Amino acid sequence: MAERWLEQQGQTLSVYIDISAETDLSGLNSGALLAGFGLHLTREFSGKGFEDSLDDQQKEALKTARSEIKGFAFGTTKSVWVPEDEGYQPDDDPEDYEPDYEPGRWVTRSVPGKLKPPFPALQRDIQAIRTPLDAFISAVQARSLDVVVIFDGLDRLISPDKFWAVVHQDFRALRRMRVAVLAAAPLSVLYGEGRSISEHFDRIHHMATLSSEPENNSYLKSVLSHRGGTDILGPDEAELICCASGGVLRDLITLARDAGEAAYIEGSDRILPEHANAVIKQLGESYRRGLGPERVKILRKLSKERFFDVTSSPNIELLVTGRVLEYSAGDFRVHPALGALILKPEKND
Amino acid sequence: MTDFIKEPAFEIGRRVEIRGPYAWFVILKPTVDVEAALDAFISEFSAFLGGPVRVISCTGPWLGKLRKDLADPASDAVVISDLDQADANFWRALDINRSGLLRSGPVILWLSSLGLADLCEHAPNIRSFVGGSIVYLGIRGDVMTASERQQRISDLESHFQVTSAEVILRAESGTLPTEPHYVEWLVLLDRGDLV
Repeated sequence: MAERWLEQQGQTLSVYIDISAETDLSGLNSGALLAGFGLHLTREFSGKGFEDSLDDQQKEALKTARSEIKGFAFGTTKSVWVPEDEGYQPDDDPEDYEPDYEPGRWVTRSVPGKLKPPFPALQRDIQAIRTPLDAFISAVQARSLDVVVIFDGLDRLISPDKFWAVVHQDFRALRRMRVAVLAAAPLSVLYGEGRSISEHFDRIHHMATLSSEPENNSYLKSVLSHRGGTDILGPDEAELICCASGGVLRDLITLARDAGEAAYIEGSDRILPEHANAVIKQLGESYRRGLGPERVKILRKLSKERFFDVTSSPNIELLVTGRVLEYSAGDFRVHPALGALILKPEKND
Repeated sequence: MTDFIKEPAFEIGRRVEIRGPYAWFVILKPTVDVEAALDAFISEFSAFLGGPVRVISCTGPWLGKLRKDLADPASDAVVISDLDQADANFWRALDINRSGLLRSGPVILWLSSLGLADLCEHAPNIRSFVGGSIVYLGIRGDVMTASERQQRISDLESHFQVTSAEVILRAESGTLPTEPHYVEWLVLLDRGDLV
């Protein structure tokens, strides 16, 4: 959506990259974002026909730059002459060789790429891609277009230190190359130790959870309606599902889909309250599994006293894993599907 | 009532069929006769789908191999059978790379209750993607009745010479062993959150 909007403004070349779909980020490989950006940028450049108006010399320069970007991304292999160590004695008679003979041998050296899983260890060699990237960026900017790159999927690097380890060198390099960056970041950069990371960005936009309360959830109902859910979902069942989703769109769609499946399997042509309640319980159980008694206590305290300390690690984890939802600044609540299970009086209390 | 629903292989097959492409399910395997249960599940599941079901192993260079196995081919049904061996780092890596693992064919994560707890703890994106699609594998299409369940709890109390209340206390204090019988016990007590 952001990519489309930017394109419509007419003064940008925007590049959307779901980086986690393309590369293994778990290796904390600095340079991977630049490599992905380079590949997408060269593709966009060609796709938009920008090359057509270039002269032969410019085309050749960009061809070389494209090749270097590919080499950076996928790795290169070349043969190099390696002289033998001092004191080397050839096995054969030295008189068989030319006078200017220097002992040595050709060896194949491979430089691993940045986008070939599994990734090699961290290498601080991102300067190598700056020149070829600059060639393309300058060619775009010569058309009075700003380059914007949108990195999706980086929010999967849940802990702030991992997120920062992957992005900080690459984002700094992009800034130097006058490329604007929009990135999906994990929620943990807003709280606790992660806050220092958010200070490196010009602007942070927090995507708060949508309201799921009956008087204020018309948007959620419109999503169900838009996807054809209301064909088999009555208003009461739709209300149940909207409320239990907590405003999390993925959960909303999951609940509606699973309730439809449950109805179908039972031979019902409509979703009944028991189908909705059964799938809400299933979702709640998936949030409950692995929770542990300490975290249950935190959730009960939040529900009872409306108290939630966002500086503590267990609480940040509850936020990041979606068990606690933030609706507006300071308005934290337990996910309703989970709350329905753990906020009941326990049998052994 | 157990924490997650219990269904036999053909019912799971029906769900997969209704779901269509990109379906991911967690199947909670039984605590006894696991190998036989997997063989029986594969046999019944493939019979329902009308095609072979591929069993993928995660041993070796895990993530790279898993990506390759899931992508080539990407349209058949696969069961990932040994995820219980996965440690926190593997789950985190899998979680970060979820988009790269997407495929049109259905994916079944064959897990113990303990393995599911690891998934939920270390891979929130995968958990979110799976959502409520978590089922116990019912053998012979059975669902345990309340009396069968009580009988099983009594058998466990008698065998281990420990009461259920004590098991809960030990689980809450983090001193309960993580053996499958104790996991089953907690689940039967409807305390899967302590696993």
